[in-house]
Amino acid sequence: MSPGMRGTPPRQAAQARSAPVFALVTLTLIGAALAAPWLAPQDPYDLANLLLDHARLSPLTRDEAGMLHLLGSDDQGRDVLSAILYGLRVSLGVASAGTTLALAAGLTAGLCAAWHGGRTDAMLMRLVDLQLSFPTILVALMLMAALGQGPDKVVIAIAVSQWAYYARTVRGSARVELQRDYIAAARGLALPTRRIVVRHLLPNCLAPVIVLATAQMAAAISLEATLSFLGLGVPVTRPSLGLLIANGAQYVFAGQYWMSLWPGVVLLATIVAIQQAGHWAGRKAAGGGASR
Amino acid sequence: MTIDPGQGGAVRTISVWSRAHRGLCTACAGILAAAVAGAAILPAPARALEPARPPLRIGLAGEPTTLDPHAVNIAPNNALAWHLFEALTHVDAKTRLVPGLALSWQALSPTEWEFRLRPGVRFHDGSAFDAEDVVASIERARRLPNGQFGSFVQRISDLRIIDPYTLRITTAQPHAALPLDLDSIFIISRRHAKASSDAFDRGEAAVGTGPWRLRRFSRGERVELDRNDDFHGVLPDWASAELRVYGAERARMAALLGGDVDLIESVPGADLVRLRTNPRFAIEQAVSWRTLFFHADERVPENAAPRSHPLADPRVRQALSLAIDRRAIVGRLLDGAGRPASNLVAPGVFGHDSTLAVPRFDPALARQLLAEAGFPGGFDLTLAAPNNRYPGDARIAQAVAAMFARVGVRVRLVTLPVNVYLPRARRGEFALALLGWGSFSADLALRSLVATRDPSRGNGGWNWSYYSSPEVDRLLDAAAGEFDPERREATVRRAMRQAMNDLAVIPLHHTMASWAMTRGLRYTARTDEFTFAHEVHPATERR
Amino acid sequence: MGYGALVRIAQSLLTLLAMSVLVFVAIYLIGNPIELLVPPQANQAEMARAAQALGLDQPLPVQYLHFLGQALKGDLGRSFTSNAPALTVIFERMPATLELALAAALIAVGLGIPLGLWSAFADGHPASRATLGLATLGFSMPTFWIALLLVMVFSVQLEWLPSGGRDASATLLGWRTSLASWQGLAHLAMPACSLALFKLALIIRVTYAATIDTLRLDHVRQARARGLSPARILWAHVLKNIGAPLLNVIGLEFGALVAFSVVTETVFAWPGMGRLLIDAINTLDRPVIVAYLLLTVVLFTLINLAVDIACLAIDPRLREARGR
Repeated sequence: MSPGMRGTPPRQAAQARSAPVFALVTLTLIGAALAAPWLAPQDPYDLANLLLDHARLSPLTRDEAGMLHLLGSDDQGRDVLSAILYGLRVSLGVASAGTTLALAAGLTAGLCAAWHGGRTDAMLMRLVDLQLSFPTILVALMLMAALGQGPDKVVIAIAVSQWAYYARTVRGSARVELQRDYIAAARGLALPTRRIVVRHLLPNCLAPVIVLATAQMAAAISLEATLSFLGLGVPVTRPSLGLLIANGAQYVFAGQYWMSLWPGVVLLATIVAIQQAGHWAGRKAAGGGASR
Repeated sequence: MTIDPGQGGAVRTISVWSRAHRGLCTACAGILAAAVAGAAILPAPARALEPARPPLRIGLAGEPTTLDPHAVNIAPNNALAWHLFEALTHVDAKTRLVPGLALSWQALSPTEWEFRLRPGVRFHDGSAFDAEDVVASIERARRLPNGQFGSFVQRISDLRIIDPYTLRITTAQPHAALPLDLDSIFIISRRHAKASSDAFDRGEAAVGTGPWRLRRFSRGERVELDRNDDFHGVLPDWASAELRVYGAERARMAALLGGDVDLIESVPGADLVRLRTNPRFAIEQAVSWRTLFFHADERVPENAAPRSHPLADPRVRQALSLAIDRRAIVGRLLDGAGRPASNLVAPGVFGHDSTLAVPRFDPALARQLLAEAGFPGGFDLTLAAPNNRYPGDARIAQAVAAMFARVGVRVRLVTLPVNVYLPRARRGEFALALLGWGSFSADLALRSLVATRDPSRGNGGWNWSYYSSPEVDRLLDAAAGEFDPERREATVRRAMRQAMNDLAVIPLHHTMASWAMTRGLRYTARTDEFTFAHEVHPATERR
Repeated sequence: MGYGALVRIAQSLLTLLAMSVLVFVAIYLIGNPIELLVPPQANQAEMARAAQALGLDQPLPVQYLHFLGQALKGDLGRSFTSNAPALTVIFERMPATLELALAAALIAVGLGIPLGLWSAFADGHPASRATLGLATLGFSMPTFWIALLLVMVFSVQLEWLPSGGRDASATLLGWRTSLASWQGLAHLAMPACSLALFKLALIIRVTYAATIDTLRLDHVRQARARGLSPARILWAHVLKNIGAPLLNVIGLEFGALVAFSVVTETVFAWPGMGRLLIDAINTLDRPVIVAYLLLTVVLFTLINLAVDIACLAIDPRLREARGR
């Protein structure tokens, strides 16, 4: 899903006030994901913990071993709360790896286009335009079809379907920077290209891209969830939030909603929080004037 | 024989190859059997029907991909073809061979057969059926480019028409299974012998002798049929029928619940529970011809460390089998849509050994056996399964992995789409590999799955465990040369017992085939899982 | 414009070519479709014969060139699984997908523009804020999750709507469609709504933003100050200004609707071409995957062209700007 929020700078003071809340939620979720092994009542990755006799218990039920399943258990006997905490780890991990890779690729392409200009620029930007005219899901689907499944493949799919956003943004700001005096000065000193680009140009183009990356991170989480939901993502023994939802989906129809519902709620909270936190950071970075 | 039909109507590969062996027994009793069963199919007077009864609407799980009966050999296509066409021989709901367009058959010599055809049969276009049509159909099946039915007739070396209703078929080698092979060759009118698959799909060539005529075929969506009032057998109870395709379980259930269809096949396990308590619907369920099991790779490469290949030790395989809680899998994971297995073939199938007991669930004993075999701390292995082939396949594999983990065996679980899975499993990449097999005859199943690998004789083609037992091989050979059905079955049973006791495969369960229908309908569950509109009846004579 | 269109078309052709190579090579690498296409008991000779019949025994470049030659003649090969022409298979599924995308687009546009306009005119009103907030939420919800929520509420709890499938038994102008019967619409409602939500949110925001910008223009403010009625302002100023950006969004997003129907069709078992793509990926049905892709590229190109032309038509300023 493209994050292309093409809205005006939101003027609602309420939104500005709620922004730190989203940041806090984001941090909490990240913290929970990192601390999953200590927080989770069960280690869902240890298959020996999964008993079919404890499968599909509804929320707030105790299993025969006396363990309380706060959010119920899934079809394999996995504690849903534990699965969510570990799943969050997978979702965030895969999405941030994908985002980082996309960022790196986009930065390289964008700087390259801006620095060389001319033909290189035209070619790269044409490629960017072309890619952006296709929905990310389609690009990702094709990649998964070609590469096969696994978290590493999802990371690649995320990177390939998102690099273009970064490339465009970086190129834009790099072209502006290239007009500035300090670059001319650096060129005058006949510094090596690599040094000018890495030491001078790059740091000055970074701010808007980092902001973009925050928003894109939300899109990446959503993309990973969608791919896993379609059965083209992460392996079944280490489910992400998207796969948990998919696994539980068939029981939704039989009225056993909790296997899908709770992972979904957490997924949604994660996406919204990260996206909003990203926007907030974006507005701050843009000069803070927008939020009164 | 099939590697099993997929979930939700993905590609189903089915061939009747294995029924052939079943045929060996019945075929010997050729004429007798034919005469007895033939009586059952003789024309019966059509029942008085309510004139305005709405069409019978059936929700199918698998999508028929073409109306060309000689093109793609998958279950949904074959099921549909049986509505429009017939073959020389048929298989009934319990997998017994019965007459079709041939009234009787007889082996004149080990390589020559004589088929007596049913007189007075007419194709949907009014033309009469005779031996010319049979010859044309066999030739077309053999020659159609990309046709997947050629293997059923490849042993035929000559076809000779004696008179319009007598056909002699010569085979290159003795081939007692011929009558069952011919159950897979649908008879088309000779006028359409040169028709392309597209001509069939457009309907112009889809002219058979079956109980239904084609009205309309929209691929991937529905097939509309009208009763063939000239049908020579029992007429369908409905004047018209619609077979609608709902590949996804969800859509199929919704269609039944919403009253869009009257009957669906392949009911999702989770919904069976709900449907059983719903007074509006009835359920028909039976153990199908499909068994799920694991092959455990027993190979030990030369100069390998003795303890590096634990699966070669029968005690280890025994331990793995004891570690599996089959009742929990069937009960909790499949919601009862299966039955724990002790055999490679379903109960009732030729060669099933009912003296074999379902392996116990005994993790303590499993751990003890592992310790005795020298693995007190367990070991690591790769367990693989397809994820879109059998009902619940990936979930079953995951549950088994968890059960192994509890006796100390650390599992790396691999689940793959079947088309990626099969080639890799065939190359022996997995220590434990899940496979499903449907068979009407245990000896053929054993021959493919556990006989010593011998490509020249077509043995052990699917023997992924590389199990090799001279005793089993000897018994299977003995069975192939045994023409008395009872003695033959006894021999096959001994082979089965031996293989299962050696844990040539680790059996899991037999799947169940299920149908759900609105109350007021009746359908007799078929072992081959086919859904036939002409075998659906009102539960009572009057609605 | 003519030159631009030519460039666009040339670009699209190049994309088509690149895509076809990519898909071809990739699918060749992951697995051998022959394994699936022959009966399980087939021996080596039979497999070789089947491979030969399908041309799968040739080296990859030869296979590709052959494919290209056929494609130029309008033949994209036959589906490995159904043996029918790949394009036919897709075209048979296309009406279902287009119907779904169209319904979703209607919902998104029909609700999105009025809501966006209203939010802008009533800017600051709590209800306006709530609408915008919900739109933000709609942005973030993965399509499949919305779909499941709808099922939980409307199928399982309330039992109002069927949880899947399509009913196109009724005809409209000779076209079998779910739009022609209540049954059909009941089946269509949830898939269309869940697919529409993201676009709805987008359109609300775009409309809102464009309208707010327009309302801030000096002459519009003066007009408002003079007491011109909101309806008048809407017609005279706002709609003219927001037309082009909206058309752009709607056009582009229609393509995205078609692409995202892959997800919706999976949840609701909607028998469209998105579901077909997933099945084809699972069965390595190369001709169908390639044909789907090429078709999508063509579709997108056409949509983009149409949007460009429509924008030029409604907004003369663009015409001058592009005149160069």
